[in-house]
Amino acid sequence: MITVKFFASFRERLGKEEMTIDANAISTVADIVDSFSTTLPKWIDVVGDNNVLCAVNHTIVDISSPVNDGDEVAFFPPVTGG
Amino acid sequence: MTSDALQLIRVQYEDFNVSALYEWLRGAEGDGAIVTFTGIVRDFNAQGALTGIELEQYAPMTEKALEQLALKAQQKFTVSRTAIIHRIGRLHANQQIVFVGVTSHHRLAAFEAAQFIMDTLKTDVPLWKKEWIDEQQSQWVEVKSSDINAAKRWQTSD
Repeated sequence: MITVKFFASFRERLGKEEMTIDANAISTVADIVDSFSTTLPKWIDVVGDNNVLCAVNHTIVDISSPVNDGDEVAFFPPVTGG
Repeated sequence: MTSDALQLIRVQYEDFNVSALYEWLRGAEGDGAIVTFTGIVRDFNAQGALTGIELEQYAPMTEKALEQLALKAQQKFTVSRTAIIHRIGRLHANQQIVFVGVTSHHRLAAFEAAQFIMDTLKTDVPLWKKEWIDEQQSQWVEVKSSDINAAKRWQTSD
């Protein structure tokens, strides 16, 4: 299984902090985003014009990065700390 | 605070004591410069008055990203001690939100490292700020292009 987490405005607007997805048929971050069209229909609306940042196992990666069974993948809007 | 460590990194709900952090920085032997920055919650944004802000983190990635940022600053500017403290949760106007302190042999490296850390923190560390207009209304802060540009200027000298 792959754990998927959402933060900040994405978490609030999806009404979801975390979900798990089957690792079969997933080999990259892009595959996860594609799977949202069935598992998370609100995704497109929630993201809107925002840039989406993605981290795999706590490191920021790009959408073509590999994902393996047991990984933690997070999606979030651009950061605004400081 | 361990006296021989080179990094002091915390993501915390509690307030921090600038004097204690400064004393830890002073323990860096042989350094001639200490630069510190403290960020304070403002009581306004471009639209008007605010009652406070709220900060969300991605534990444990936030602390890990701050450790990497401190390491990068140490390599890039030959600073020795680096302290980065960032608060999370609900904060009111005028409260402390972030502290960055660095020590170096000379002032230029210390000034630059502190600025590099703050500029990069604002674009690379998973923290999100929500502004509270009153007890009912809040909005997530949008990324400012001035912050992106401030972070970019350090990339050219990599």
